Formats: sequence, structure tokens, C-alpha cells
Amino acid sequence: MADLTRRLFVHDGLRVVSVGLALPHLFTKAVQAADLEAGRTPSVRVERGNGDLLARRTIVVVQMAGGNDGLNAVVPHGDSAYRDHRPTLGLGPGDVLPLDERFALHGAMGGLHRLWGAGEMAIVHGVGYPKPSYSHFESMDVWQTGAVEAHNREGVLARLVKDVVDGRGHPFAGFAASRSVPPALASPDLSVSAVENPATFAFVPDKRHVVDGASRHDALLHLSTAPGMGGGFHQAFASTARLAHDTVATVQHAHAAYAPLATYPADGFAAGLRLVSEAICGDLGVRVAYITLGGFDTHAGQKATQARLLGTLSDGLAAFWADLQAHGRADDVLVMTWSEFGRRVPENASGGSDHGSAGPQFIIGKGIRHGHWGAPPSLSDLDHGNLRHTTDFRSVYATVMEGWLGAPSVELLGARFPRLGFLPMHALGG
Amino acid sequence: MTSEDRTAVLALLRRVTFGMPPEEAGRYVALGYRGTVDALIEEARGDDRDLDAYLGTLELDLTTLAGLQRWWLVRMLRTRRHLLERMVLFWHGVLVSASAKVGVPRATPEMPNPPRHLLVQNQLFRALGLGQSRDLYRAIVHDGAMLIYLDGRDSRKAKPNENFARELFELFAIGRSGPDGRPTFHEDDVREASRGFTGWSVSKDGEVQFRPNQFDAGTKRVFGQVGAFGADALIDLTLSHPNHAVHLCRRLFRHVIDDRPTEDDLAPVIAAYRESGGDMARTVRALLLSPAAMDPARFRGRMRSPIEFVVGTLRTLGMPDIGTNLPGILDRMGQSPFNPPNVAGWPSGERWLSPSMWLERVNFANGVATTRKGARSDGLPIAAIVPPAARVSPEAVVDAITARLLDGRLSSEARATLVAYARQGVTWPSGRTPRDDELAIDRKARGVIHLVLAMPDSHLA
Repeated sequence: MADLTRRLFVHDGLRVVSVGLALPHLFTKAVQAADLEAGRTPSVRVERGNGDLLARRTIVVVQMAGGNDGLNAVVPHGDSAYRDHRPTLGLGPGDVLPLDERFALHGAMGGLHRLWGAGEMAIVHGVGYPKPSYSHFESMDVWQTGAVEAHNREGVLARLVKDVVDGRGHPFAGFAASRSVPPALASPDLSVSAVENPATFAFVPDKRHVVDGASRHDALLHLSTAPGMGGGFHQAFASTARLAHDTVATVQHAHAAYAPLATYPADGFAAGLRLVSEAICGDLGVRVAYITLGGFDTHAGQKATQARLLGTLSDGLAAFWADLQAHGRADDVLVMTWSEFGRRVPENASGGSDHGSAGPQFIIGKGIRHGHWGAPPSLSDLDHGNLRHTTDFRSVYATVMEGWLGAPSVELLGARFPRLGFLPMHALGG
Repeated sequence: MTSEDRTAVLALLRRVTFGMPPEEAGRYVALGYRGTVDALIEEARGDDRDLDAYLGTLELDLTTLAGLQRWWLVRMLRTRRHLLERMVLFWHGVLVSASAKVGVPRATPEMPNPPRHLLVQNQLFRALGLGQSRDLYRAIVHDGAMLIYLDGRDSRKAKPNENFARELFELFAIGRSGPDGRPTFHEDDVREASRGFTGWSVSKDGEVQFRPNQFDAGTKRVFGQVGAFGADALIDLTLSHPNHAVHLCRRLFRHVIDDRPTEDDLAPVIAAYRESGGDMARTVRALLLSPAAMDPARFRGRMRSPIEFVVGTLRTLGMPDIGTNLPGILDRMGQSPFNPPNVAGWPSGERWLSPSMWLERVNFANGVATTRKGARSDGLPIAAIVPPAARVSPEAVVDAITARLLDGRLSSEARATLVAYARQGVTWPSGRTPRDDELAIDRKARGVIHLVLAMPDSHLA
């Protein structure tokens, strides 16, 4: 099997070839070989019903890193307590885009406001977990592993991919538009493609010495993957090198074949979304895609910073959605945002807000039930200035896992969490 | 000098320096392990006058991030104070400030000399990085870059900003939980301590000022102690927290040795830190002389960060001239100097590996191996790395290259793979003309350098 891997490398690693579905199949064999080599039980695919419909479906997870101020994103403009807590940070009627008499979106979120108007967005209110941590890293860890108490080594989305949607080690089942694998998708037993820029996602050949290119790549792969190479980091090097050489040509091919059918903003977040669209429209088999927009830790000067970031989020997602629609793929995609916490309800003296607890999540999709889900937290009954969460974040995961991908949430989350109504029970397509 | 001593010294240099050519490493080997530890610490007390003078000739634009990055990278590539420069990188990853938020102000007609907060902070790490930790922690409270990065400049008596106090406790000095898993501090400690860090501001031209009327001089309760604490007193309270020494020594251990320190591994380091009152030179010395550090089974147990790999490669190959594209390469590998991804600093271990980041390392290796003499640099000194005496067989070429880049330490299977590659396509000895031989062997040697730099061993320390 190691020979197969190397032959693949020599024949496919250096040239752009059309691989279609053959590559994942071959890749599967390489992964199984690696499993056996490492003394592991080869991963087994869990076959489930509704195969055709579910197999096309993708979730796109958008992390708003730093702790988004939910109160100034989904503004409770009908609540007088909002302005009392936020005399300077509060958004007035001219700064927001009303959804109804109770809530409005931040004025920078015109793109998502249009999706709301089209009935393709839901908002989940008051999402958090018991005994919230005000540490970025602890709270991210909770969300990323899907566990409040236990410390799981694996990301919750990694478990979703490898235990349910694709147990065969398909290299693009998990896909991150970033240079590193996000913790939510990280597992020692899962290969996830993390690509930031297709232009540099390549083996740059030695132009002065092309004659030994094949044998050099052969040697490189052997040095990176053969048993014992890399000492204590053997598995990490071996799986990374295999994944790189098995995916480079496919990424290049999809990149060359794709043309966006919407105009994306010129920022890095939009570039990442474009890459996700490229992977989905290029039929790479993406089931869980991941992208991060950072900078939401607005302790000071929040107004300008958050307006810029929410504009980036909203404009990027609107372009992404338009692109998917034009490609005829929007029916297959569900977008879910999250942030590690919301922020303190009373503003601070720096024109910002400190770490808080619960916050809203945005859900975008054509198959969803539009509207508000989860109870909006009270602005008068606070816990040390923080919102009391009303919706457990694992309920949102459970709803998406079961309702969109047909995945058994109890196994993945370790307990049953009530499903929310934004995905109807029949969304399985049965 | 036994071969074990030699191996240990070379492993030590790989851990706590940015690399050096074999001639220089040989001078340390002659000193033995303890002698090398002492020499590295002693050298850190000296100056870097030649380097300072050289930097002056480069006319770098320090009002841009790329200019700042080049300034620091040149220091790493050319310093004679090996250990100190590594400690600057260590502290940058602990007491984090990032250019993404701090900014690098451009010169304008109104302000021809804009503040250089990140440069000033970097020099602070250089001045105090091996001194008393208390001096450094006290100084970082009112460091301009830190006041901007964690919002201390906006923290006022009326409404203190919690950002700095929280990260000081959680990431910089104490950690979230102790060895027993219990929380080391509580929300009230953060809120109360924040009051004592109020009063600092940063003016537009970069001057840090203390404004007594914005300082909350009232009584605070922090870690069960009650007093009218100000910044210095709060730092002292923080550093006397029982988990501080554990937290800092663990971070140091992970920066130098590996990611798996046990309580026993840390015990001598923590003891030295406490007994010396936070003397970093004595703490580092205790770490390097600890049983864990000297255990050959733990050599090469740590993933090198991109900066270590890139700078180490260039120094070891004798290529001290920095290319203009180095900041971009490091960014794509995931480690942009002066710009860590978040307040926790950079990751470690396997998190440095993804296909994207690995390809960037592999392609950098190829770029280095094929660098020819040009206007900006002398290129790869291939004649020095593979001298005529080594150009006689594939084995000799591989051994010359791996002796330099891997201290000669690699598995027999890896060596066999490299030799087979070197043999293929070249007739050893050749029946062709000497000129053809020279070209073919030169290309092969460069190919071997590419492979050696790309193979896992080159990414471990």
C-alpha cells in the first residue's frame, strides 16, 4: 500500500489531472493503509438512509472570533433597558435595520437583512451554556469540542465528519478556508484540508532540475511518511504529507475550473468564502466547511470596529449566498455562525464592552424556518451584568446535525439536547 | 569529549539558539555541556555592537510592519547573543502584543517620527529577558504597545477595562487552573485588579503617561488580600500567586524542551525560579541542566516554529542575508513576527502542521537549495557545504549535508533514501567530462539539501 501511495505521488503529484471521484477512492485506500500501519482499526463508514439528498448537503460554519457583541448585532431596539445600559454604545433608530417591532440588525448588515427579508435566515437567541467562562480560550474550547465539562481532544465537527458523514477519510469532507486546521475540525484521526490560497498550495518544482523531480518527490514522500520518520510526530507528518500530495492537484483543478457568479468584496474573509464556494461548486465533496472572521474582542472603540466587522461578515455572506444560488447550489448549503461569547450588557468607559456570556447565532439556508428561535434573554435580570443564556449551544448543534445532515446528535454530543424549530423534523428529506 | 557529550551539546544548541554553522558549533562542543550553558548565558550579558552598526547601514523603514520584521529577523540571523534573542521570541509569545491591533504608524508631515511601540516593546524583552521577571512584568503594565493591545490606555477610574488584568492572570502569569484542576482566580479578582491598573494613557505621539486623577486609589480585594493596590503592588501579588512559577516555568519548558513536562520535569526549574526570586538566567540554567533537558530520549521532541526553522536554516547554511520576501513566507507558515494570532501567542506542536503550512516549509527548503548568487545575496554557499572532498560519492554528499543540517543524526533508512536519490541519474564516478560532473553533482547536492530541509527531522528540535 505504501507503494501505491508513492506511485500516486509520482504520477499525480506533479501534474494537474482531472481526478473527479477517483482520488477519494484511492485516498481511502491510502488512509486505510496508514491506519493498518499505525495499528489502528481502519475507519468504517456509517451508512445511513436518505443517502442522495444528505450526501450533497454541506454546512458552512463561520466563527466570529473574539466575542461578538450580540446586543449590537441583533439589537433589541424595542427594549428601553437596552438604551439604559448603553448610553453611548447603544445604536439608535438611524443605526439599525429593523426586523420587527422588537429586534433590528446592526445597520452594517444590509446583506443579511436582505436574506432575512427573503425568508432565508433564522436567528437563535440567547445561546450559551451553564456557568459560562469569560476566557476566550476556555469558552472557544467549550464551543469547539461541544463539551462543557469534559476536555475532549477532538473537535465536535471533527467527530461529525469522521464518525458520521464520511468515515472513509475523504480529504475534502472537512474543509477549512485557512492555513491551519481549526480546533473544531481537529482530530488526530481525521485529515482535513486547510487551504488559504490555492496559488501557493502547490509543490513548487525545482525549475533548474526538472529531470529528477519525480524521484525527488518520491523521496520526499518516503522521508515524510515511512514508519519511524518524524519520531514522536510521525503520524502528524505522515498524514500531512499524504494529504498535501493527494489534494494539491484537485485544489488546483477546482481553482482553474471555477468562476464566481457574484461579486465578492475585496477582503480576506470574502476570499475565504469564495474558496469555500469553489470547493462546493467544484464537487470536491465538502460536507463541513469552516471559516473564521476575527477581531470581535471590542473592549475599546467598539462602534467603528464592530461596524466594519459586521459589514465584512454580512457583505461576504451575501456574496457567497448569491454565488451559490447562481451556481444552483444554495439548496445544499446551510450556514451557521458562532462566537465564543457575547459581551457585558453595560458598556465600559472605553467606548467598548467586556467579556460576557450568551449571544445570538445566525442560520442561513433555503430549507430553514425563517424567524426568531430561542427566548431572547432579559436585559433586566442580569448575572453580574451578563445575560443569562436561554438556549444551550448544543441544541443548535443537535438541530443542525440531525436536521441538516441526518447525524445522530446524542452520540456526537454525549447527551440529548432538544432540537430547535429552525429546521423542520422532515428536513431529512424522508 | 565523548560522542554523547557532543550529541548533547548539539541538541542544546538546536534548542536554544537560532542555529549556526558547524565551525561555530564546534567551539561550543569543545566547552562541554555545562560549559556551553554557561557560555550562552555569559554571552547574553554582552553587547551586539557589530550587529547594531550593521543594522544602521540597512536603512530599514521602521514605520512599516515589514520593516520592523526585517529589523528583528536581521537580529536573529546575525546576533552573537544566541540565548538572549531566543528569550526575546519567548517573551513575545508570552506577553503578547500584536501589530494587527497595535498598528505600525506611518510617518506624516505632522509626525515625522511616529511612535514605534512594538519596537520599543521588543527592546524591552531584550533588555530584561534574562533579568528579574518582576522588572519585566512591572514594565509591561505601562508598555505602550501593551496599553494599546489590551486597552489599558482606555481604562479609567470610573469604568475600568478588564482586558489586561484578565489576560495577565489567565495567560501571562498564572493560568486558569492549578495542578489540582481548580480555578486559580475568580471573576472578582479580575474586576478588582482592573481598578488598580487604571490611570495609564498613551498620547498620540506615543508618550506613556500616568494620570493620577484617572487612577482608582481605593481599596481592592485581590486573591484574598486587601489594600489600595496600584500596578506594581498588583504585579507583586500576581507573581507571588502559588501558580505563577508553575505557569511560567511550564511555558519556558514548552518553548525549549517539549510539550509534555511532568511535575517532576518542572520541579528543579520551579525551585530555581522561586529560590532566585524570579531570576530568568538562573531559571533557564536550571532548565537546561535538568534531567529532562539532558535526557537523550527527549532530544528532537519538539516541533520547531517557523521562525526557528527558517532562521535556523539560513544561519546553519551560512546565508545571513535576509531576502525581502522572508516576512511573507513566515506569515504563510503561520508565524508573522510582531503579529501573533491572538493574546495566547502562537501554537505549538502539531498545530504547526497543515498541508498549507507544510507545503510552505517544503517550498522554502527548495527555494533555499536553489538560491544562486545574485545582486541581493551571495546565495547558497554550496562549495563550502559540499567541498570537493565530499563530491566523490552519493554517500559522501549526503553525509556532508546531514552533518551540517542534522548534526549527523538521522535514521539509517532516511540516509539510505537520500543516498538512493543522490545516486540516481548521476554516474559516480562519471565517464563524462569533469564540467558535466560538476554540474550534475551540484544539482544533486542542492536536491539533497532540499530533501533534508523538507524531511521531518529538520522541523524538530
